[in-house]
Amino acid sequence: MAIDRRELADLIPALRRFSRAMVAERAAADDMVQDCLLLALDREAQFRGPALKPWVFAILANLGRARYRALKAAPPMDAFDECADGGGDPALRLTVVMALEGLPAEQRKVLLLVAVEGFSYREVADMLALPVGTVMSRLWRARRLLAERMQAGTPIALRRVK
Amino acid sequence: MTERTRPVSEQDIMALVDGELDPARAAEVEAWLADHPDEARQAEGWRRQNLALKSALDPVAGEPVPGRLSRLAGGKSRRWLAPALSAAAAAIVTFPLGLALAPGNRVDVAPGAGERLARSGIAAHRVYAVEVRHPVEVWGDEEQHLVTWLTRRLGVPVKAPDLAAKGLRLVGGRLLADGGRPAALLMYEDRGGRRYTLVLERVSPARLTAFRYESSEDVGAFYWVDGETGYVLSGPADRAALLEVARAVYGQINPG
Repeated sequence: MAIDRRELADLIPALRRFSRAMVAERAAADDMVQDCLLLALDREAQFRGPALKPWVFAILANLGRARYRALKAAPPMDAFDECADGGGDPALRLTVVMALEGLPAEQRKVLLLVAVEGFSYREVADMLALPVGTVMSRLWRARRLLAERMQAGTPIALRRVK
Repeated sequence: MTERTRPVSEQDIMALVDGELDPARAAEVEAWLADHPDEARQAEGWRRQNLALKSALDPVAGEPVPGRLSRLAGGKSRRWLAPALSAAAAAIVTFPLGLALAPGNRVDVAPGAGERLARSGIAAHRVYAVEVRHPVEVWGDEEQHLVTWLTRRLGVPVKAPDLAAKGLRLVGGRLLADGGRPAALLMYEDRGGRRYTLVLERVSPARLTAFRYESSEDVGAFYWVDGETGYVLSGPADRAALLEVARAVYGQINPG
C-alpha cells in the first residue's frame, strides 16, 4: 500500500523527538531517522494500513539494537547543550534528559512510546513484538527508575544551568 | 472487564494514568484512589512524570526539520538537487580515476546529484551492513536471479562484480527505495566479516565522472557516474583500501 509522502513528512518531528531521546547526539539521532525513512520507503509495499504512525515508529524502534547500544555512549553534554536553548523550563528538561540517559534502552523505548508518543500498550507490544505484559512491566520499571533518578538528579541539573 | 470487585494493583494505577482502562474500570480505580491517598499521590506522580517527559522532549519536535530528512520523505528528485549539502560537499575530495579515465571523457553530472547519491549509499550501508540475519533479500548463491531482477527494476544493466581478487565474496543484494526511486544494493564481505556495499541507481546520463570520496564517521564511500548508472561503494572508512576496491569494481564492470 502506497505511503502518503506528506503524512510521512508530518511524522518527522515526532520521529526526531523519539530518536533524540534514545541516542542524545543530534547528528546520530537524525541519521537514525534518515535510516528509518529510507527503510519505510523501501518497505512501502509491506504497509497494510490503516495507521502510518505505528508502522513507521516500529521501523525506528527496531533499527538495529546494536546501533542503540553503540550510540548510547554519545557524549551527554550534547543533550545538555541542546536542551538549554529550547525554551520551557531548562532545569526540568535537564533533569529529565539526564535521568532518561540512565535508563536501559529497552525500558526507555517503551516509556517514550507510551508517555511521549501516546501509543497504547497494545500498539507498543505489536511494534516491538512483545507480550503486553512485558510492555507493562518494562514501563513500570522505567517509571520507577526515572522517578528515582529525577529525584536524585535535580540538584546536579540545577547547578549546571547556572 | 466485567468483574466488578477486582483489587487495584500498581499496574492498574499506571494503566489509569496512561488512559488504558475502559471507562468502567477507570471509574472503579478512581473511586478506590479516593480512599487511598498514598496510591493517589503515586498516580499524581505518574501524571507529572508524563508531563515532564513531554515538556522536556517536545522542543525537539518543534525544531525545524533538517532538509536531508524532509527531502527524503518528499521523495521528489527535483528537490534533491537543491544546494543544501554544503557541509557534506565541503568534505568531498576529488580523486582521479587514473589511467582508466582520459581527461576529455569527464563530464560532471548535475551539481549535488552525486553527493545525494553518496549519502543515500552511505545511509543504506549503515542500515544493512550491520544486519546479521537479513542483510540481503536475495543471497549471492542466486546471483543470476539477483542481477536479472535488479536490472529489470532499475532499467539499467546491473552486474555483480567479482571481487574475489580483493578477498571479497558476494553476500547478495536487495532493492532499495531511494527517495522513491529504485536502487540496487549489492553486499560483499571479506574474511574478517567486514562488509562493503555497492549501490547502483539510474541517473541522468553522464559520460564518466571522477571517483569522489565522502565519509561519515566510520563509513567511507567512493562514488561515480558512468553513463546512466550512478555507483556508490561504501565500506570501512579506510580510503586507500576502499579505493582499491572501487577500482576493482570499475574494472569488472568495464572490462578491457
